[in-house]
Amino acid sequence: MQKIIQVLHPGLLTTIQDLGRTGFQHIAISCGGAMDPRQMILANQLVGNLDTDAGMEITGYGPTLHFPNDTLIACTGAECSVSIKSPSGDKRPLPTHRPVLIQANSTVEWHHTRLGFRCWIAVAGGLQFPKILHSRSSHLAAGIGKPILARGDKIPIGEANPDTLDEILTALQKTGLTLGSPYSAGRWRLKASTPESWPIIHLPVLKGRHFSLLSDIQAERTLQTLWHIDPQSNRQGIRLNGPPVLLTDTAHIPSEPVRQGTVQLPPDGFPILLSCEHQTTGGYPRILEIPGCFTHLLAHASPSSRIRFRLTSLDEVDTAAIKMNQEWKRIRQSLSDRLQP
Amino acid sequence: MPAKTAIPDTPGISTCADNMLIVDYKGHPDPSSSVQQLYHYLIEHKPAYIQEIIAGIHTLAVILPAPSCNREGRSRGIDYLYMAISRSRLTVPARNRTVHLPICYARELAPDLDFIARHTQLETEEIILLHWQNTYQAQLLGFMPGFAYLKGLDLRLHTPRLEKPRQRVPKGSVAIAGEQCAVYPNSTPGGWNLIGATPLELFDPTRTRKNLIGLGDTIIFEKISKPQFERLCKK
Repeated sequence: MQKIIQVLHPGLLTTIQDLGRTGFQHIAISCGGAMDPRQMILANQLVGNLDTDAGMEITGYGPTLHFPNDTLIACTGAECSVSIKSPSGDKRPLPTHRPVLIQANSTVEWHHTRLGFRCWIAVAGGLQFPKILHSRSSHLAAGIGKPILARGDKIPIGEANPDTLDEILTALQKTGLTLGSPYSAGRWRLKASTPESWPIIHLPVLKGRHFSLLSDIQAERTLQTLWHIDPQSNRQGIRLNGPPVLLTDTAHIPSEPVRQGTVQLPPDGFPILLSCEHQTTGGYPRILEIPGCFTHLLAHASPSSRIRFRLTSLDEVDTAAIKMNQEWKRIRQSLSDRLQP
Repeated sequence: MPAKTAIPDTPGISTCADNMLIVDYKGHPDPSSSVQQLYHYLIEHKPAYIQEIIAGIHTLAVILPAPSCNREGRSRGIDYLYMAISRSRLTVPARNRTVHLPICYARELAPDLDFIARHTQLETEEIILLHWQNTYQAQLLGFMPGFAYLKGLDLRLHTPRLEKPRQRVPKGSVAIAGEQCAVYPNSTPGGWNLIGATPLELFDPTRTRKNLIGLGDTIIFEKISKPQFERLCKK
């Protein structure tokens, strides 16, 4: 029988995400996928899934999910208060950032995210929606994949590999598994992914192709402003609020290819940061570019956070990327060691 | 042996952030055709160290996958692009397809005919004739999957966008704004003037040809009646 999760409350904006769709931008489909793909991968690793399995991305306020079967789950990303209601009705906090075995007929409530804006939930076996263009991701802007979660949705989950499950549980027991009802969980945890300076997000940026349209004063102001995040922001673009930067030279720019991380400056003077569901072409001046290795920082840009740009150089970006990749390998290795029986 | 000379009119290639390379044909004769030629060449000859290809009006960009986002990766990408630019010139220009697109100009599918008439000082029959008789070319793909910016709109039909965009443009609507024409593959908010509708599916991820209109394709509108439109919609 198909195992499922029941959606009792969808949360603010919960979507199905994996690592997105690459290779389709020539027909105007941006990658999409988890806004911080490495956090989705870690959540998957915590429950013994493949990196490419689909989970959920929650935004600001999470869903309430009912689990009819024993299910191993993990939640990564921002700190979030989560509670679990046992079949007999008593409620207690549920730990995150580690594998957690949920007892059948329990209900888990994700509340507000704290220190950050997005979390990722993986379920052992993965969420089983049909793949469209090699991915199960909800691409809301393109209208591809499962629309945002709704009350009453039944989310199909795949069959987890029983050997992998056993291994993870054995490993957890070794490090002190809190066995119990309505859940069992390990005592250790991963770090939350929120930048330490949050609610201020320091974004390293490079000059964009049209940076020179800014006067010296405008350039300086753009870089010094502590930008607010417009509540209209979404997975397609993040709009900034602050003192507008009005270009005097509104040269017509024929539409050109843009990328996740492009910072556009429309005529109203409020920059737009293109996020993972961005359109693939645009005609607004592009004043700055967030390098690819830093675009995941936008996952925690919420209306209560602030953004400050920091001009960097391509050499510095390359060096930072090498460091980040080494750190990433280290995190994955140590996690894999921990999950070995 | 003849001296090896630099190929004239080679466009500039610049690095954008850490993972994008942009070929710029600005100022070249017929930049759109050069972009389309390179686009089709790259789609057919895409090495693993290039992840995405995106065409603009005068520019074309590629995006490198994360493992190639370093000095060596970018320089390898640039070398490949220079090679592709010269090869794409030598290959026969990609023979773009001609897409025959049925269109129904019935009033209920063309709510902005009156606005266009007021703006252009033309009778609605004239507007329909001028729109229908022209041949269009897909100049840019973007905005949403299946959406193509078509050039070729008669000068007399150039009409500004709606002052207040619609909350919901019905799927299949054929619209004009400024010097361009487009078909909405799906319902979405939009500010273009609706002049008719097509019953065809412009985007279907399960088809081999996912987007009905490809870059550079020629579009010929075929006039159909409302009953024909409804019949085709049911298919």
